[in-house]
Amino acid sequence: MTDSPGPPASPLFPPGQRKRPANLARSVTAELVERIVRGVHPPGSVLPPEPVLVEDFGVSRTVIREAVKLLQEKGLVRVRQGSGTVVTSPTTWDMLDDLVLGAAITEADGVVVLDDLVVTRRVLEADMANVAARVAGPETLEQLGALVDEMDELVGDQEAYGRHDRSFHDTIMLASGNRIARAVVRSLESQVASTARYVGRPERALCVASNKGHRRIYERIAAHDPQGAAEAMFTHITEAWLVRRGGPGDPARLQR
Amino acid sequence: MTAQPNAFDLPPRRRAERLSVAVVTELVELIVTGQLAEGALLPPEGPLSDHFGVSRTVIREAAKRLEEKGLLIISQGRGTQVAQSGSWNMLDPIVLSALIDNDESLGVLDELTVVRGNLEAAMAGTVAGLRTAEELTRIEHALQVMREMQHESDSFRQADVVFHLTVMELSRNRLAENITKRLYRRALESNRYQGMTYEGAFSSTLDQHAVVVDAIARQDIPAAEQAMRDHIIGSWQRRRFAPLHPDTAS
Repeated sequence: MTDSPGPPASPLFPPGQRKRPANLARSVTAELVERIVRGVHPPGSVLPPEPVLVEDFGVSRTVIREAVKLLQEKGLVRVRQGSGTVVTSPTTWDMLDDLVLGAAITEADGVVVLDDLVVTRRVLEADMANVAARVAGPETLEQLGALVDEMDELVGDQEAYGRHDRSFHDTIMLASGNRIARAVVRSLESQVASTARYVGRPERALCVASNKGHRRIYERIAAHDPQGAAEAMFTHITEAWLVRRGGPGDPARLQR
Repeated sequence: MTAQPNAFDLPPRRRAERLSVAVVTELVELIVTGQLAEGALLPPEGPLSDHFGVSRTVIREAAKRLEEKGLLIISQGRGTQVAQSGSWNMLDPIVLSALIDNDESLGVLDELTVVRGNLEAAMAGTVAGLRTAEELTRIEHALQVMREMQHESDSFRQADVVFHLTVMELSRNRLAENITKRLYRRALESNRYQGMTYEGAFSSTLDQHAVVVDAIARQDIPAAEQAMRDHIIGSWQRRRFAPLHPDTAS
């Protein structure tokens, strides 16, 4: 989409060099997203004109145009004929976009964004645990039970524990059958999974505590206790976050 | 898609882009509705480009976009395969629209409403816990506007949306607000979501909103959560299962 096809059509997929402008555009976009989220270009302000950006980034106009188009798709700017590219208000930003969410989290008040993320995640996952307790069949229960047992053995291996942890949560989400709720949680998760601020320090004690939470959730689902499963999930997500959280400010919004 | 000041070098590219968007939309639709089944191989580029009447470049571009949305797995040599639905990005605007357009068979509006109900409930709870006196006044005002509009269905619907947006905004949870608004907006675009109504819908909406406002006024967090959730999920279920009712709005 970035430029005209130079080389003759290959039978499969385009040769490597055609990818370059897209990758450049992506790095330029990442930088501009960060500036906008950080408030260097505040809402309502006009982005520097094309030639200035070309100079700034040392890239072609095509790349800048592509980047601005990507910013537009993310809801960060509006291109108005005559008045240039205007930064939009944060309520129109696509917060589920990895660049936008990533930039928001690394901000000074990023921990508040993570609090909000936890509030969002826990209410959806609690509801999915509720449904799972009503509908989960024997295979699902067996899978969940096996994952919890395995995690007991993996408390010293942060990476393997993490994989099982995600799989435990995903099994419950899949069992609930709510594809939209699962998509929201997964997209939130995938974007913060790599930020140290969310994941926290690898510690055995934290894994032990976290798996106690998993076991309680599993038991409530196995007992077909929807209310209990929802509460166990809610508590697990909240507590696991509070021990990792640290950071400034009072987690007032996590209260309930 | 937006007009650029200097259009000289644009026409050919924009045409290709538009074609590509049309192909993307149609392919998404075919996959979401199961006409191209999960795990199935996509027909080769040649036949596809004949079918859509576009160049192979456009087909390739479209396939790449679908790969980004998690709908296709492109592998050199083994061809292009439709991905399992578990890996589809359901929140992608084009995917979500295709799901909603085919809701009758896919039931995605039920799922979307549950998500909305849960998130708005959490936000209403936060507002109950943190609201100031002025913020309560804003919410009460939004409810008052609805009361005044209850005999004009278009204005009433608008006031209804404003009420929900006000509560979300006051929650200060930008993330939940943003996600909910996106889903809500998509749902509102759907005739199936909008068009259905039931006897006494307006007065029952007003009553339920009043319960939410009352809980927020009393700073009763669980009651605010419960009232908002019951309202959103309950009214969708009533609309959904109600016999089709002649709708006064378009």
